[in-house]
Amino acid sequence: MTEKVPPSALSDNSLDNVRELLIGRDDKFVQEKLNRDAKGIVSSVVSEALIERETKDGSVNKVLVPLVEKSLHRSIEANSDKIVGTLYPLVGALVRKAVSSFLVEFVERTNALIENSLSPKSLSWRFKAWQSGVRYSEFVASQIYQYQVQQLLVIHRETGTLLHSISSDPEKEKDADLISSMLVAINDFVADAFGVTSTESENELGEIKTEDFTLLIKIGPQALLVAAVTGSIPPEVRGKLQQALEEFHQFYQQPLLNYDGDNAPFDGCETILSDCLISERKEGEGKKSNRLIGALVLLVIFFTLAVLSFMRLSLSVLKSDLHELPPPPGIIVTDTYVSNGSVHAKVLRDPVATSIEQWFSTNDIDAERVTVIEEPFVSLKPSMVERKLEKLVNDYSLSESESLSIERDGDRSFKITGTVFTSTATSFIQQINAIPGISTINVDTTSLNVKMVHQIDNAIFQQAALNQLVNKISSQNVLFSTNQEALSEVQLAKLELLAIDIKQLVTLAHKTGTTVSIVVLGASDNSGSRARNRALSQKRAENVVNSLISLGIEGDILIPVSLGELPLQKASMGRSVMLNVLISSEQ
Amino acid sequence: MIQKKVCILGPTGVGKTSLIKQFVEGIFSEKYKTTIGVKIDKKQVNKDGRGVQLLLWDLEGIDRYCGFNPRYLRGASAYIIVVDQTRSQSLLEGMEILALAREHYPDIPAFFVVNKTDLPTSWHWSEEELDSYAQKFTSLTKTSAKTGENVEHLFSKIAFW
Repeated sequence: MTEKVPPSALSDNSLDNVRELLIGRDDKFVQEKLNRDAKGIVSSVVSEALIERETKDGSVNKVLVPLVEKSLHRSIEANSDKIVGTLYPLVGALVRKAVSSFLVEFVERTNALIENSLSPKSLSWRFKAWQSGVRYSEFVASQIYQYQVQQLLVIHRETGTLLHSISSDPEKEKDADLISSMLVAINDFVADAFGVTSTESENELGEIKTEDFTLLIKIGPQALLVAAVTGSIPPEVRGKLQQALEEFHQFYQQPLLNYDGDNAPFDGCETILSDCLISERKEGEGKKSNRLIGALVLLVIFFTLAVLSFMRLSLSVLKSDLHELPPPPGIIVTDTYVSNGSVHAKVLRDPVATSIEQWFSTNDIDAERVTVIEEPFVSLKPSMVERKLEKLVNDYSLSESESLSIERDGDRSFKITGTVFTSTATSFIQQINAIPGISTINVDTTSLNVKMVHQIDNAIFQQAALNQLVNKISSQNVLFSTNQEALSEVQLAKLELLAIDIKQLVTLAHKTGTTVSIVVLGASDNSGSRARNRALSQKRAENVVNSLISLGIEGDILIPVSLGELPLQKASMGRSVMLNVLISSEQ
Repeated sequence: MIQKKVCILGPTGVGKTSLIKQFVEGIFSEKYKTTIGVKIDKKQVNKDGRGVQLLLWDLEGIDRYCGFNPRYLRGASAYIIVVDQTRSQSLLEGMEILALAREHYPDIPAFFVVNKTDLPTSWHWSEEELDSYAQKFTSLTKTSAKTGENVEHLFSKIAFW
């Protein structure tokens, strides 16, 4: 019975033994076996396992991220030179791209600003902005940026196939896939045609532009975002596109990397893109009426300017006309200028010259548009002197029995004819000689018939002439120097003329039966003694009487009287001989 | 829907454009042709309820004097090299094009098409020689753009490769 082993115990032990033989104590053989093949076993499933675990609870990333960060840090510390060398070309390209993109946007913004800050439009905008209490820059932005993003395409960069497209107008969306391919082909063409040695990424098209249409192309690592935009694009649209493209890459990184032509994973991207499908439109009607008002204001301004410039032009023409017009003799234009809407002319005019109005009217100049500032002057031009002479002759006041006429007697030579009395002749000739510049012309008065007053026949005229002579003679004074009784040359000449008058007076007195006496009153000033002055007065009167007698006057009508000294305020007035004609008519 | 870019290469006059016309019956991008030397058409191919849209890049006029822009092959799912069985020279040129394409994109499947089967064979290559050339390609198809022989089959094969 001792050989008998309980079957259960036996079987238990043998199973343990068998297990130990097969897998070793504590699974030693299995572990050894596993250890030996562990690399092979794990390597065949490690990627799938990681993906599965990551999708399950995301723990792979949690474990890996700190590890990777740590090793990166160590690696950079240990091999910084190597890493800098590797990164250098990449960083350069990145920075260049960022800077060039910034510059394009900056230049565009500046262009728009310049375009709209130095024009008439900007002035009106400034006014409107001020009126509506908005900042000028905001107002400008609202005015320039009228645009519409019409279509957006997301294109797979590698294959050129369309990943997704949205459009503001679904009818226009056709053939987006062909357009995408064409764009990529064009891009390839550009890179091939113009790229020399630079890398591909630097030769991508960024923009295709016509006058009112722009194809904006934003390039990402795996995809392109293309926006078809009409109008003027504000910078924020570019920013929005860039942001959308970045978001697209972020959300669809895996599908992009594993892209095999299947667009299904990108179906949901519309939410990202729709943000970029923006537009800004102006109110059509408001603008129209604004334009109308603007056009009207512009028209009024233009019209006013045109009228003003026309007036100014016509004034200038008038001024130059006036300046170039040869003035008639006796008129000198010293200055012409435009002021206060009319032409001013400074003119020197001889009084006998043609009037300014006449001059203007003969030359078709509107006298109302010219303000004339006239100053008188004496012209010595022969024609003026001639005119003055003619005027003198024609206007000379004559008695009924006198006449004067003038006729041209060759170049600058005149002959005066007619009949005048002696007194008229004397003063007439004196006046002729007083004409300034008379020496330049030749005046012949020899044919002038001078009549003596006594030759007048008519009794009334004779009486009148007599009275005239009486007055004339009575008004005569003969002046002397201090303490002198002798007559000067000047006074003697005066006495000669006086003698002629006295003779005529005597003749007329005879004719009219009038008795004539002339009292010759000698006087002196109050210097010296009274007796002396009385004697001096007497001598002066006698000297005048004697002189007149010597000039042919009968002595019995001349009565010298001594007045002696006269108590006059001005002493010189007393040194004279005065004549007083006494007449007694028969009646 | 799956989209596939397919490039059609080949010497001048072998019938590349005719092949595509035959297949697509519609030309969209005629106007681009002269500018950049490529014309793009599309056609959808269906099989077993699945649809694939082919974007066919017809690269114009490749000969030994003017090569083609290899960038156009980038991202292609396949490319076709067409030769003309009535011209011996076209086969040699086709092989040169293949070498150039392989140089830039060694992994893209290359489909060999001998066109103009409606005309009598007038080149001096034997079937054996032709097969030895065809070994370098993914597949060989004999087509006629004129009669349409094998055209649908060719593109269907490429679409579901």
